[in-house]
Parts: sequence; C-alpha cells; structure tokens
Amino acid sequence: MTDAINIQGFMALIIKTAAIIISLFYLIAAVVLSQHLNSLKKTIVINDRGWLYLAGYIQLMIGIIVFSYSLFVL
Amino acid sequence: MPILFDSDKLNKGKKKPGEDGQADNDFDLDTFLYSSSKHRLFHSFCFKPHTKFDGQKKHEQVILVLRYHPITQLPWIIVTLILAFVPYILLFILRQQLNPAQVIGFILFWYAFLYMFVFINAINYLFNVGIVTTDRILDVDLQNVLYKEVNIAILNKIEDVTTTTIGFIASYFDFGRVHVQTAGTDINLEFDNVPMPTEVAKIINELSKQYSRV
Repeated sequence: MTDAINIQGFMALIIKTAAIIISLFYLIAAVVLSQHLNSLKKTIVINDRGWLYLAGYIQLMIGIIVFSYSLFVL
Repeated sequence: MPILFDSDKLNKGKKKPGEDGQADNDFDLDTFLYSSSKHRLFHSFCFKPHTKFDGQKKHEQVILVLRYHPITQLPWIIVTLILAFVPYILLFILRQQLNPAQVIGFILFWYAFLYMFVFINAINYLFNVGIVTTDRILDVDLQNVLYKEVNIAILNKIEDVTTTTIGFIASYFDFGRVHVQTAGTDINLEFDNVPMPTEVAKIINELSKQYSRV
C-alpha cells in the first residue's frame, strides 16, 4: 500500500515537472510568436482591425494561465 | 477578264491579332486599373486592396494581393476539428489514472496547443502573400513560424508568366501555380495555389507590358 502511494506521489511529481517545463516553453513560444506577428505586421500592413493582436494577447494569457496552473495547482 | 478571287482584298478586311495594339482577349488594362477594389474567396484574391507593405514607394499602387486558395487550408481546419474532440476520448480511457486537477490540466494544455496550432496556421495564411504592384512583384514566403523570405522582381525584368493547374480539385476550384520568369540572374517568383491563376497571369502580363514602356 505504502509503495503504491509512493509511486503515485512520484508520478504526480513527474507530471508536475513536465507540465511546468512544457508550459514554460509554451509561454516562451507565445512571446516569440507575438514578436514575430509585430514584425510581420510591419512588413505587410493588412486591415484586420486589431484581431491578430487580440489573438496574440489571448495566446499570451493562455500561456500565463497554463504556467500558473501547472506551478500552483498540479 | 473578271477577277474571281483576290487574296489581297480579303486580307485588307482582316486584322492580324495584336495589330491594333489590343490583346486577343480584349483585356483593357486602363478600365481595369480604374475599377473599384474587390476581395474574393476569403481575401485570397484581393484586387486593389488597401494593403501597404514595407518599402512601398509613394507612387506605387498595389494591384493584387494573392494568398493560398481557401480550399487548400481545409486539411489543417479538419485536423483542428478532429483534435478538438480527441481529449474527451483520451480522458474516457485515462479517467481511472488521473485526478480531477490533472484532468483539468490535461484539457487546458490540449486546447492551449490547439489554439497555438490554429494561430500559426492563420498567420501563415494571412502573411504568405504575393503582391503585384504597378512597379514590381513581391513574394513573401513563410516556410515556418520564424522563417520569412521576401523575393522581389521588377516589372520590366519579367520575361514570361506561366500558370500550372494540376489535378481535379485545382481545376474544379480554379487555383494553381503562377510562375514568373525574370530576365538574367534575377530570381524567378512562384505563387503556389493562388486562385484564378489565368487572371493573375493576364494582369501581370498587361502590367509588365504597360509599365516596362514607362
């Protein structure tokens, strides 16, 4: 029984660590994509009424939520 | 002696193709250039759009902005729709092994990555463009997220424009490749899967003829 609990605890730790690393990469990718979008918008000015910036910010928010969740809840 | 047939007389009445300066297909560029802005097929074929680009000259007018035909975007849209339902199947299988916090975490991660996938594909669709202006042709290629290539060909350096439509779907939906060959060592441009390739080639040819004289 004790062994089973330890294995579950170990698995939970592995899941948490993996989630933190993956969410950190996600957050970095979201920031890079946002910068890339800014660069593209300078290259070609398309009239999207700010939808793309909004989509970029939503992605950043998702990144922050995912990172916080894996850090504090998982 | 009565003349039964005079070939010179017959030829006088006929005009050779292109003799009067008009193209065979009655394509009037001036009327075309002064016509209003049009956007077709989810902005994949934009005629005279209000698009600007980096390095645009003051007198330079954007005539065409071309993107991939929307039908070529269907694969990633279908993949997205399928992936949107996958976590429920996986969670049904793994429900015994995961606690509620992990289940929520799994769903959160899945949809976060799905959102990124859609976002990247949308950016690729919107910014992978071919621009035809009154001065030059630009081909902006985004191979992946962080790779951007911009090729430029001046209109008076253009030698030949060819179009290729391959397959049943391309023929039915009228999209294909437009290959712009330039003179000398200048780079050749290619617009892949653009809608109405024949129209595009016609417009580039006419612009090239008109503006190479200027």
